[in-house]
Amino acid sequence: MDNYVAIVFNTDEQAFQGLHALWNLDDRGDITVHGAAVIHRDAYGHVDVATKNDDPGVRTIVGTGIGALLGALAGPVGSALGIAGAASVAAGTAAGIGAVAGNVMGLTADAVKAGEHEEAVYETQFAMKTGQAAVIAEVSESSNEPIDTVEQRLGGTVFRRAKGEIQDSSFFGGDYADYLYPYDYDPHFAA
Amino acid sequence: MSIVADAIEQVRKQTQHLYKKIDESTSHRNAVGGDLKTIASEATLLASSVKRLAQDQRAGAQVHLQKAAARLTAAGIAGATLAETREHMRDALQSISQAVAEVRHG
Repeated sequence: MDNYVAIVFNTDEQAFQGLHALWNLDDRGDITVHGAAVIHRDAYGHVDVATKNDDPGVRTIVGTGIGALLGALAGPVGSALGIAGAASVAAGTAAGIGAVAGNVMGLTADAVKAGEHEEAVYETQFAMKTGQAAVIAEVSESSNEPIDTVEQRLGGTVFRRAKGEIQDSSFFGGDYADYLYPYDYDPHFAA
Repeated sequence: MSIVADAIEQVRKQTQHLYKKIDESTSHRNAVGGDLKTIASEATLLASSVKRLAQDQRAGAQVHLQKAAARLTAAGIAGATLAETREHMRDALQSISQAVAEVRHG
């Protein structure tokens, strides 16, 4: 089954370990990782993508596609906001784009908190608090077990949505794949 | 792991390695004509391997490998820019990854 996963950790370091663990599972043939990256939500709610050490700042700007991906991972409420966000950030600045991605998750979390839609509690589980980091990835897997077992051991909480379900119900720009590295890398957040 | 499955895994690793090399050239903005030429000829060699591999595959993986071979061939065309080569390589890698997933998880 082809899935998008988000694995949320309390620290960047844990997320870095989580990324390597994901690729180790790929090396063993337990899963297939098509692309993965580490993201981080800072104290202001902005979301950054960790780049390679020798890739300073090239891909830290969260573009429309990955904004939509994060929204879609968050569920229907997030998807809707992701689409709106994507439209509004087409010509945005780095800070603006980061803010929109942050809002996607912030508003999603608020919707859950407000309890306005009971279903939202189930549908919008993926949310990152400020200071948290997450591994996001596109994977193929025969069962949830390998990722769940390994990542939970590292302190991660795993969220997953079927790729088909997301692509049927939401909008993606073409750029999200640029942010998911198709190989293991040493992640680094620009200061 | 069968010899054929092992060969797909190998080709994926080689493609990942080449893509990483392109990423490094892109980030350092130091790709010179020679680098691009080397990358293009490596992509052409990979395209031949992938074409051969595709012949031995079941339908699902075969389709992905055929797509990958076409993109690798495009990446090997002389005169392509680094950005164009990178895009072709990225698509090729995605398709090879899908073929690997097909073989591993069926």
